[in-house]
Amino acid sequence: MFLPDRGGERPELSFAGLHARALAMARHLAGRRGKGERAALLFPSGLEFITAFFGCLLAGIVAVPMMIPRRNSRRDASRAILADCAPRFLMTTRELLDASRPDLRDRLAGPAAEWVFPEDFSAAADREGEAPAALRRDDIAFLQYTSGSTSTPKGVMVSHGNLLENSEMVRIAAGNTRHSTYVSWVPLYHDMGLIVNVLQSLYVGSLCVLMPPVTFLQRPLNWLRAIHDYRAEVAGGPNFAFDHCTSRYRAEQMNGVDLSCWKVAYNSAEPVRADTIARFAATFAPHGFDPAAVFPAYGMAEATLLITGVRRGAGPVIRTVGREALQRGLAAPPERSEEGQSLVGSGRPVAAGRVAIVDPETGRQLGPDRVGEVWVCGPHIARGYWRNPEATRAAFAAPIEGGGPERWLRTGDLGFVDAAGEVFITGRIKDLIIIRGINHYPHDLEHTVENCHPALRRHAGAVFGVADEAGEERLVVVQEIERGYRHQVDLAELRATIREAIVREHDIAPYRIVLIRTGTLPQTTSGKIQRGLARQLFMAGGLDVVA
Amino acid sequence: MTESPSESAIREWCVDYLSRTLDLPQGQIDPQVEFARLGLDSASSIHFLVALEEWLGLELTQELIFEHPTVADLARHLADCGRAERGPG
Repeated sequence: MFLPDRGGERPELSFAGLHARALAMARHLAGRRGKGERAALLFPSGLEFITAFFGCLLAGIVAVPMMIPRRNSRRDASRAILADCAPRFLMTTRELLDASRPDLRDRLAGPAAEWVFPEDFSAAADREGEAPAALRRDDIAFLQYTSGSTSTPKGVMVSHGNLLENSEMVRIAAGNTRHSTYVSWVPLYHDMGLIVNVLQSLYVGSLCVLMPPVTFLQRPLNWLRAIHDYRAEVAGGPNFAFDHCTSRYRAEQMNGVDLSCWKVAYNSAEPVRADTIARFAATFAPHGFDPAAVFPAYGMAEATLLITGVRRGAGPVIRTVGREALQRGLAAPPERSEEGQSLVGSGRPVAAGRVAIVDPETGRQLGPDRVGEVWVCGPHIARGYWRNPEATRAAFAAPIEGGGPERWLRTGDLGFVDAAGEVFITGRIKDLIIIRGINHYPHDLEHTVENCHPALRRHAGAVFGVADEAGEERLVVVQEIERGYRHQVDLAELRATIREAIVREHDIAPYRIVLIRTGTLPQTTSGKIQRGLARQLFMAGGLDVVA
Repeated sequence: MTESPSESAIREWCVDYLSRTLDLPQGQIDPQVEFARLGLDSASSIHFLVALEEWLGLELTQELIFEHPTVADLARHLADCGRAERGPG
């Protein structure tokens, strides 16, 4: 069921209706000899995406969920994704293409691609007969492009078997039944929106209520009201979603809302913060919210989605560790109270899923409370990156030194497992920046910055994330100015040019833009930019700022 | 609201709001400059519209920022809407 932003009619799609429409669509696609081809799915919020997704699955076509590229953006991920997966079909709604975004027709259509619109297929068509494609567990169901940089995107190949295994893991951890109604605002091109919400509710046979992300961003309390209205058991999002509800809390807008039905408030895709959980629970407890419903989880597209999660009703595990010991790679109680840091556990692996903490240098497994790279193995690990054997080998095929024959997924995240088996994520090896649940690669942002104005020195910029006053991750840009330009440019205008380039191409508002003197950005002797060191200098006020 | 704000009042309100939330001095917010250049991404533009809705007591669509991409343009449009809603014809 879909709740439109401005109220009005609420379209619904039954299981039988979905099957009939997807089957009609799949027969059309099979008639176009599409098996094994890719289809790019670019949909506004609504139910059409789901029909298109299952139409692809039934026809043996590899679905590629994509974000609709922003208007006026010059360089965005969509072009590189389309080049990488070379789709035979482009799917969207007629309304989007004809009325609101006619620019997409020229922008996206390659020479070989055909447009397909799910609303052209009615449920009244012949419901009998076989699905047009015979499928095996190893066949690729869809490509999830959340990985890799904008210029070289990596499509994670998720198989039908992966989806079934991971759906079972989600069911076990969340304790879902056919009564587990979902209310979600997470976009469907995001793996969390698709797998945890839509596919899981289909897997267990429950009601799934979808609302547009923009409704949630504008009026987050409407999400909570919908949870109340539909007596939903499961609803969640990245950490920022919970802070957003707390900061927009208005008692008068919560009149009559009873959240005691909410059993699983999953929090994933961003670091889970203890203060976020505490504030949210304190704010909404008077409205029936049960703190034991807080459900931290950890996952990524390379593992289909879910890697670890708490169990329904158990509540989060919060541990206070010493910051200094943690920096040395050990989770231990703080030596002094002021250096204590609260960490939220991300739960445990589920069913046949396994997690190991490994020294990324030696490949040896580490013991309890030792910080290392998080490695994962199990039937939910995806088949690799689309047409990229090199990146696939590097990420998907790591052996543990002195361990068994199995191959592990290297997540690039740092963490530890405590003696009870709870997994804690403490940081990242890669300099990845996560803003509102979306991964951004520093290299992409630095490329945008250095190309936006000739006064900016090439290969002499660093971007990184810092927490703002509210504890949210924000983007900082540090960039060298070419020596000859220092007195020729207006620095405020230059900062505005950088700001505009980042907003248009990456849709992030930079938090700070720091212009520094030529040759003062920390680099290794081989010329590699030291983002970590630049970040430390920024925090300590030690950069050679041009004023 | 009994009387809808004038174009210049809307413009002032927008400059004040943007300077507070984008952490820029008011003097740096040129009403003729596009929102993207001021650093308004899609998430912050939603907050901007919500605050504007509350102040004006009008329902606004998200498209507004694309259709009227500067403070001057947006203020002119909103003042016209206010007049049309209230005026005799």
